[in-house]
Amino acid sequence: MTAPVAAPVLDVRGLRVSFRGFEGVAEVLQGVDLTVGKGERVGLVGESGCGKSVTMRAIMGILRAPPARVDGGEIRYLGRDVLTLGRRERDLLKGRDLSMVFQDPGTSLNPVFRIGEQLDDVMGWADRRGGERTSRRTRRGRILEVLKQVKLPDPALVYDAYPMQLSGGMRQRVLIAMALLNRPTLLIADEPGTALDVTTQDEILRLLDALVQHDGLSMLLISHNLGVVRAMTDRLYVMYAGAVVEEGATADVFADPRHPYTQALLRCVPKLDGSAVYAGIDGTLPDYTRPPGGCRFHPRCGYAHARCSEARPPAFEVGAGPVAHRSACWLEEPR
Amino acid sequence: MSAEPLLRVDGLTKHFPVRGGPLRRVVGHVRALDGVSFDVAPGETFGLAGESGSGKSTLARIVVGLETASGGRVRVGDVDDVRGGDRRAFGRVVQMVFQNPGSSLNPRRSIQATLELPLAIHGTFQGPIRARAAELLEMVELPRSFLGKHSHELSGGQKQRVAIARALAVQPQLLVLDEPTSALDVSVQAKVIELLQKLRDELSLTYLFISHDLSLMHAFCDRVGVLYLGQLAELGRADAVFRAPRHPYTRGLIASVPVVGEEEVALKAGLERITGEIPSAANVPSGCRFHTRCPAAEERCRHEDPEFTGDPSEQAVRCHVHSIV
Repeated sequence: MTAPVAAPVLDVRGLRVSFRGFEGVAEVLQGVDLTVGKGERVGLVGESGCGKSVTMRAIMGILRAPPARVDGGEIRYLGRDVLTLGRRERDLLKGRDLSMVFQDPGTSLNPVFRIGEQLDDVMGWADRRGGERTSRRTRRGRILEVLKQVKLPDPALVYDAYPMQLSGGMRQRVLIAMALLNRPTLLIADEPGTALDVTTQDEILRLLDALVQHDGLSMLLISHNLGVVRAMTDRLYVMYAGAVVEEGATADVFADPRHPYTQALLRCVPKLDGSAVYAGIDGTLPDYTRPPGGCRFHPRCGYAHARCSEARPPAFEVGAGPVAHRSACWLEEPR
Repeated sequence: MSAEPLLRVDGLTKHFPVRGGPLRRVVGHVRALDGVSFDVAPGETFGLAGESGSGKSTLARIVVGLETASGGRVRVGDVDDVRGGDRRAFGRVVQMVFQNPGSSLNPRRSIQATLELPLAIHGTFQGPIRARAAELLEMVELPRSFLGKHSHELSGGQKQRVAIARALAVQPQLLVLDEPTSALDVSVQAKVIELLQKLRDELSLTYLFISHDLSLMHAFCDRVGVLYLGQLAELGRADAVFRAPRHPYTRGLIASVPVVGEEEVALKAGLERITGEIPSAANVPSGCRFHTRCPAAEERCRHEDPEFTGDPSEQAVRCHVHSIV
């Protein structure tokens, strides 16, 4: 378990993002704070529509603007605010230091190019941007090495294969290889293995974990699966309706979930011992163009009182452990 | 189990021909199902688990009559399987809820029209059809005002409720639920499962529940079957199978489930993981078809196909090494 160190790799402060559409302005992210320390594995969990993908896209600089707009906040990568960087510098950052493992192995690879060509593109591009001239042959060596690292049998065959010739699990391995190719410092994994069977997902997650630990990479793992986040991260953030509602060491949050949303979500997850109580959560995610005032969870919260609809709760410290455990709920306000 | 099962699946086989060459000759077969047998008692919820490619969806489609079997029989109540039989009579006893409510509801039809269509087709319902549609909505806990809406105006959970209401319109005895909640978030899934449990008790329904979510299956099903490459590997009471899995495939599946609590971690302790991916059903391994991935495989597993041992109402397993004596 690693505590965040003084200079985090990634430091997001007060990130606000809105979308403009026919229905008006949707204020999606309402001030997200998030850090990833060096060598730390951090999870970002929440249900569909909670804003986890928007957060990830804002960090990677791949939000489509318009309709999206960053209204405020900072995204610092190794101390530099990436939102103020020029396009060239930013591109360089995301091709090399920041890289991403995409979710869907079926659609994230181009079906008409061989695996080797696609990996070579990624590597050659970053090399050129970094002012290096490399030959295809030297890149091939590195690519084969990485394909071996992700435990693909017969890397040379995979190099010459088309995506359709590989199984879903193998394609997901290729996507991991692609993300590792330029030796990043921060890996963003968006629902890795979600599209695969449990046994294959389990293998992929173990592989990813081993690679991250071996290279001392920092990782931000985005998932809707609480079980996956529990197994793969040191610290986590729980998001609801565009805000972080709870954060803390993964073990602490699972042992003692504090925010009513986190508690409800955990109750909804079916348990392997068959003991699940099907409580569910009444109501639906609010409409972002007309969000409820105060705490955005209050219309669905069993503990809501007058104050919850009046003012947005700040993140209160709730734990006594070495890693900050915070819950954005008025119930935790010190008296 | 009571004496007379509601659903009887007997030696069910489905082979899809593979064609190749310039003359499109049949060069082989995809053995999607290869002799699957099990019974489901009235009021029971039977779960079928397995990875993609195991044949679970093919089985569901044959049970509802969307696909015809190559061999074996399916009988529901007194109605025999579809081949040569009365398709409509079959439809009145068995209905299906599909995986993706986004594509299983017709976007051009109002919810009312969606719910009235099965009533019109079967013509068995006596009384005002419109009132019946409203009653069906009430059963799935949706307001009457939804009758005039179209599916695009509904959330995923609401759409799935409409799909359940549509399946219930003709008052079937057996519902085949093909991954009914896998496209939904957990908080919505919990609500839909709660509804399915309530309907099962109120209408004394029998469910055939297909899923890849083993945790959900343990909580929701009375008995489960684990399918691998078109054959059942293990079968039995949900609690027996999940607490003391015997087949190496079942053990491997359970070992790979991501969990959220300490009690669950205990259930996974001591289970061997499996590696690799499911082979193609066009090229089924000899002997026990799991031997290529099995951590316990012995020499005879490569040549001899194991038989089922044990009692299917308690726990039965198809494995040389972990047979029940």
